[in-house]
Amino acid sequence: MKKILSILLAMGLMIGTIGCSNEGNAPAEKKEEKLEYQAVKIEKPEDIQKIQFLVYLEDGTLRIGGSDQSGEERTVWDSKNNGKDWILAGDSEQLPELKNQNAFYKYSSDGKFYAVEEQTIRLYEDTQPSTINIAEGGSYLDSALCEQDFYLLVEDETGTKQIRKYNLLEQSWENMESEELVQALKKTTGYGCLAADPSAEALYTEGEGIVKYSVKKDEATQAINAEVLNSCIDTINEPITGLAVQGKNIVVCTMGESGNESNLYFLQKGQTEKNEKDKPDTGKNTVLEIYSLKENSMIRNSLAFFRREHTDISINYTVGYTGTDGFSVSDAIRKLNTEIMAGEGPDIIVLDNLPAEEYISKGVLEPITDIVNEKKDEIFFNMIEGYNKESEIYCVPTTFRIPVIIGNSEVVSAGSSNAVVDQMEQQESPVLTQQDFPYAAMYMFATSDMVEKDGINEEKLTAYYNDLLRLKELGNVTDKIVGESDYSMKQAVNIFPYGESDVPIDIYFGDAKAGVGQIAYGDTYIKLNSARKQADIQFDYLNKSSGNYYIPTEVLGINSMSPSKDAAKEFLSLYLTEEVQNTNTMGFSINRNSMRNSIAVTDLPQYYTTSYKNLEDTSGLDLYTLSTDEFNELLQFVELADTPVQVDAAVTEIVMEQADKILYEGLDVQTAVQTVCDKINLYLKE
Amino acid sequence: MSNKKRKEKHMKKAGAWKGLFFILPSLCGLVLFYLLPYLDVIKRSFSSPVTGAFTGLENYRLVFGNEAFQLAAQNTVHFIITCVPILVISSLLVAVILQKIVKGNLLKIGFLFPMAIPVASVVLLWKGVFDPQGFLNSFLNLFGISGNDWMNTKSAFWVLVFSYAWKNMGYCMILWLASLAAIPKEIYEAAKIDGSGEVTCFLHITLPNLLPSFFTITVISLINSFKVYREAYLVAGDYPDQSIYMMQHLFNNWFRDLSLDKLAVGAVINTAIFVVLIWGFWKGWGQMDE
Repeated sequence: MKKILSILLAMGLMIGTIGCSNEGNAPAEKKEEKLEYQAVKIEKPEDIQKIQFLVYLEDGTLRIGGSDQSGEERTVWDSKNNGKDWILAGDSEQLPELKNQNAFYKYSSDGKFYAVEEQTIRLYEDTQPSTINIAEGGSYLDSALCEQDFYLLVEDETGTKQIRKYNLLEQSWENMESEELVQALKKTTGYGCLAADPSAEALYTEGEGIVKYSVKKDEATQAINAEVLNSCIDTINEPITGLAVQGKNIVVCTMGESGNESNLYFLQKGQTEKNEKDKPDTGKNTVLEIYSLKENSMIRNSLAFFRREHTDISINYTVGYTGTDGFSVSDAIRKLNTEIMAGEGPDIIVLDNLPAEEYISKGVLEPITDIVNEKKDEIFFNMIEGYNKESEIYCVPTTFRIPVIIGNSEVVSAGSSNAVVDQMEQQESPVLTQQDFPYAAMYMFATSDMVEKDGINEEKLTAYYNDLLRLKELGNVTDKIVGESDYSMKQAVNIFPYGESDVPIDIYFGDAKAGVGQIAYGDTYIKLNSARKQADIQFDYLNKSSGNYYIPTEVLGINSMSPSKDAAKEFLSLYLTEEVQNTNTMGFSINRNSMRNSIAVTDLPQYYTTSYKNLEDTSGLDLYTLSTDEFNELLQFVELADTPVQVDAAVTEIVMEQADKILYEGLDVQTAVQTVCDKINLYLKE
Repeated sequence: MSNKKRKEKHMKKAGAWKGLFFILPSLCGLVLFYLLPYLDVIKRSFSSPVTGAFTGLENYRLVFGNEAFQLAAQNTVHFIITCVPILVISSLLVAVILQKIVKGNLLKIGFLFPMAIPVASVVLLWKGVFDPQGFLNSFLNLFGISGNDWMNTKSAFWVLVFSYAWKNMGYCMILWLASLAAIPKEIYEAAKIDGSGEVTCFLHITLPNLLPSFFTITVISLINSFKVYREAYLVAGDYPDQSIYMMQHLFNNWFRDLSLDKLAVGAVINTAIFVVLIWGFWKGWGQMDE
């Protein structure tokens, strides 16, 4: 009996322990505290059109300074009630004269003022101004003065923003290297701004919302997340230019849509919730999840448009592969697939680098024919038709690029990649630039039809590798590469499809006879068009004997198991509109008007700018806007595109890995072909 | 039936119930996290992956006709029938030799050492040793022997066999040593008095007494043979040389490609083979334990 009792006691203890641990590990309910804000527009003083600074003083006074319409008259104003009433600050009349019109004053929270004059900050303290020269590798964006510490937000030549901390007593400075802060600054959508809490304990900046950086703790947190901020202010059309923070009071300064006038908003906490109770329930519990494997700025930009239109729908954007957390692309795809199979996948999937065909065949994607058909006349439907072989449309490429062969008539008339290389060999040297070699190689592979359903065509692969060796010869490419060389195929794979060299300029200046480029942006097409008017330069679809290839990018699809299908369809529909597509910088937009808006077109060609080979050159290629006829010619060319390049990342990686070995490590073509066939055939047979 | 026998039977039954109480927590976990999900796997093997529509034996037909599956199955079987006997026999020989060496503790630790090395470190080690420009090729070059791309040719298979044997040798050896220690010394002494040599003792005393342990050690070796995939994957990725393309590579890739139907079929087939194999071992050797 005793034994049975002890067994039961042990069992009870075990169950208790398991029970306790289960409770502890049970998925916590999402108690994410989402602070609601409402933006209340503040009426500026009449004398101010452009605001140059805003700051909360220690006594809670909101102080702003700026210039009038002419830009000459500068005044400083104070408000004791967060912008409801303004009075002219006493300091306004005592301010020392500034060196030029672009210079301006700023105040610290304790009322000290300083002047920002081009690359110099002049601090007026104890009547002896000291200066800070900010020319050391950065241009001024914003600053904040807190007692003896001066914080400066600068941007270097590469566009990287960083905050410098100057110690005015010791006359020294250091970069603030908190990883969280650095990452936050990378996500700045506006011009970049900086504010200090009057207590001098925290700095505030903009970076995917408003970020609070605790100086003492060296820790960055989101004061207002991007979703909430964008639901208050349309930060796309009104980028943030300044901030002032005191405790819970946050005032945001934006540049109005006209670009000439600043707007001020007081962010009021807790008001939206109250107001929303009165609104009809339009699905405010709906959450729209958007996923892309890699960071996509176009998607990120579009979120603000959607939030503006649908304040009742929460929207989350997730990037699967960031490259910073030890997760490989393959791991990220696996994770996504697990979520999809578990019915918890994203509502909208950006299918770039994902197995779109697999998703279609397995029923993961929702047919979106109705959405696309509604917009049939507004978009390049041929791009969508080429991509969707089924009767239904499952995914929409929203941008595209067309790989083209550029050169004289003989080279361009060659129908296949192989014939192009033959023709190139007959040209006088220099035929191809080193810079263009990896792109030419990559695009020739992308437009080849060597990857078949059951395996890779061995004959075509052998011919391709032999062509690469010939191209390398024509491009005088160095025999050895060290590390990740610009000319390695691995590098070309990494940047595909977003890289290209300046082929029209190279040909115009006699550095090459031919090359492979892309028609993807208005500016690059203008360059190509201007060059062909002044030299024997033509262009055509690359490898056109197999089809008119184009590269579809930003391909969007809707998860068939999405609980928010309607919201997802709304998003997709909005995403295809001219307004959203006008912000696209990832290639030519599939929206006809947006594509047209991205190119300078005039009735007759007009001088546009001059493109130089080197910065110090005095003569270059004069570029002209497209005439209406020339634009129509481009339209006709684009409309002929019918064959999408569908690059399988795994196949490309294997082919290019061996290409590097052939080109730079002396591996023989036959061995490389055998290795590729073994691996790829296995992959395709899976 | 006598009272004594009845009592014995009752005691045995009561002991079995007590045992069940002890294994109940882990049995619950097994049922909850393995057996019940496995029923779902069986269901999925007969249905389409996303819509869940019943497809009959279509998935099985697809998998059996899949060339990648055939290759993976062939390689996995090849690997198991090569490496398991190698490990079982070599670890037994090492254990027998170590048992004879009085001060063999340091050696025992040496054999156990690979178990303590994390897989990631093993992979780094392998990359350093078996790389075309690695330690092994440099060593061979000293003697004028040309090197080899060990991980991208058929030699990758033997690298994997070596890796498996190296990593698991210590564990199996310890199991053998425990079994060897359980053989009464009196039997050996009696045999030696009768004039038996070392070999005769080994063949006629040691081996028969070790037979019951064969079951445990072989099953453990078999299970561990599947774990070698980690090394293969980390050294050579999703698509290694065809000679080491195992079932787990295929399963991993199917999962990535959302081919859960094929994956479910593969899991069912694998389980079936495992059950049959282990049942066979148990019938053959396991019952000797009793």
